[in-house]
This record gives sequence, structure tokens and C-alpha cells, in this order.
Amino acid sequence: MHPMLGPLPTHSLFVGLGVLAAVVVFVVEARRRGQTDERIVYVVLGALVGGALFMRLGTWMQHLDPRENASLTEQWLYGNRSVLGGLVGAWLGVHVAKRLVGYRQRTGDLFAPAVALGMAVGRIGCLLTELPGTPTGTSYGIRLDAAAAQRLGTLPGVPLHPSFGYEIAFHAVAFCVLWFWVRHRLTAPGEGLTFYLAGYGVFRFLVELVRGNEVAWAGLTRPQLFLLVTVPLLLARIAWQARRGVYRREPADGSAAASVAAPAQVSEDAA
Amino acid sequence: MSYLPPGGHPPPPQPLPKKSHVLELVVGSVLGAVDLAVSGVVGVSLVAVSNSGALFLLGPLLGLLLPVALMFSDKTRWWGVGILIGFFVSLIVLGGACVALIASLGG
Repeated sequence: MHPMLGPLPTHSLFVGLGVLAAVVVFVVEARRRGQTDERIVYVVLGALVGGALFMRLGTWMQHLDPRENASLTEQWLYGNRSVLGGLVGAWLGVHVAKRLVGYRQRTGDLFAPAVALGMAVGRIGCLLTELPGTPTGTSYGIRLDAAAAQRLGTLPGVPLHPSFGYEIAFHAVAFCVLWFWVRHRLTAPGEGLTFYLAGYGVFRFLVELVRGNEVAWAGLTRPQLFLLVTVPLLLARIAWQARRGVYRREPADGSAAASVAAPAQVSEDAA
Repeated sequence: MSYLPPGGHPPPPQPLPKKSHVLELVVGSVLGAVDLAVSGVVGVSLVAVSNSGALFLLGPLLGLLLPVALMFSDKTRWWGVGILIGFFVSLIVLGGACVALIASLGG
């Protein structure tokens, strides 16, 4: 474990680098797609506000008994920092901002590769500072020294699943797929983000099996319970869009242009 | 003396070039990070003075007053947006750092 890299806190350093990488990808993609309207800055601000607030407060009301939940200040200062909460907040923030400034173009295709790369980089900070995962018999498990094991509440010398390493690999592959394939082939505007989030939801549900988070109910962790509700919604949306022909590719002569364009336009208001 | 082209119609007026707001956004973002740090110190000071942890959140709320006020004028709007972006990016990046600060103050 490396809580500090020189004078800098490791986690913050990599989250900062992740944000920087995401900004670069977002700007490049926005220019490529010609989405350089000034209002896009407000949309980004909406994502940041929603993401920052929900990242901290998303896990606030986690106990059914309200007396067991932290106060607002305690949650703000000491509560979990939730990636899933941040993603939901950012999604909501984008929608609110688009409503406020009247921006109607889809933005999911700008955010998807940016978030994927940002997460791949940011998760390196988690890998180097947080409890890696549950014990594993594999040869590549991470072994903690006595000091790190005591700080993270686990046993020293026991090989642990590098669950954040799995996530880094997922996001890196997702970024490559989105950047080099999906954005050139998917004709339905904004749907790249839906596919990315659905994929991440399924992957994260599986990673939770080796993450080592607290089991909340029926053998499932809180992120798994959250994903159990949200991932089916995303998959249902994809199935619904597919049935409407939104993902149908245009033939080379463009004869099916009308059949593809119409449903894509109808879905413009859904982020 | 006429300067009209042979067709007789004057050329259409050229649209004014769009003003870039990159400077305001970048410098504003840096100021936003400073704003968050100052508001954190204000929040900690309020906690120390009042002995009530609930007052900590007043610091960040006070820190948001200036950028929000700047957004109400056309001339300063992009400074406000820049500061807010810096404020909330720092909130995401420094998520754990302020916890460590508070914990160290609490002994």
C-alpha cells in the first residue's frame, strides 16, 4: 500500500489525473462531433455538481432505522465516497443542467469515453491505498504487510483479490472499445453511455463478490442491491431501443436512413 | 462611387467571432480550488469556535456565495462558472484529504 507518493496523497493524485484525462477526452470528442456550444460547459458543471454531491451523500440513508444513519455533517466528512453514487449524481446533474439551459443535443457519447478513461486512471489510486479484496488462492493476489493489514482491518501476508485491478482493466478495455469502435459505428446518438453504464453495472455486480464490502442483505453488498435495481432498468432501455430499431445500422446506399433517423430523433430528450 | 459587387447586392454581414472563455474557465477553476480550501478552513474554524460539528458545512456554503453571485452578471458569468467547476472538481479530487485533516485536528 502506498498512501503517499512523495509529498502527494496517492488517492487524490490519481483521481486528479483521472479528471484531467477525462477533460481531455471530453474536449477532443466534443470538437470532433461539433458540439462546441457554450451551453455544454453548463452541462459539464451540472455533472460535476451532481457527481460531487451524490458521491458523498449517495450512501447517506443506508440504514432502514434512521437512528443508525450518520448526521449530514458526519456523512459529508466521514461517509463513504461512492463511485456509483457519483455516477448517478452526474447523470442527474446533466439532465437538470440541460433542462435549465435548454440544451437538447445528446451528450452521452461525449461522457462515455471520458468517464471510462477517468475511472481507469482514478482507480489506480484506490488500488494503491484501499483494501484490495477478499482472500484468493491465485498467485497474483496482493499480500499486505503488517502495518497496511492493521490499517485496513485484514490479515497480513494473505493473498487478496486485486479487485481494483480488475476494474482498471474493465475501464481501460471499455475506453478502447468506445474510442476506437463504438463512436465510429454506433449510429444512435447518446447510446454509447447507456451501453457503458450497463456493462459497468454488470461487471461491478460481479466484482463485488471479491471486493470485500460489507454484506447488507441476503448475502449481497449495498452496491449489489443498488445494481440489482438499476442494471435491469438500463438493460430494459437497451432492449426497448433495439426493438424500436434505434441500433439498426444504415446500409451503404442509405435507403434505411429514414427508418433509423426517426426513432433516434424521438429519443433525443432521453440523455 | 459604389463598392457594390457586379451582382449589385452587398455582401452579407459577417457574424462576430465568438469570444473564447477559456481563460476565465481555467483561471476560475484554479480560484475555485483555492475557494474550496479557504471554505474548508472557515468550516473547521467555525467548528473550533462553536464546538458544534454541524457548523462545518456553513464554510463550503459560504464559499459558494461568490461564484453564484458572479453568475448573475453577463460580464462575470464565466468567472463564476470557472470557480464553480474548480470548486466541485476539487471536492471530488480531495475527497479523502479533508477527512484526514479533520481527523488529525480531532487528535
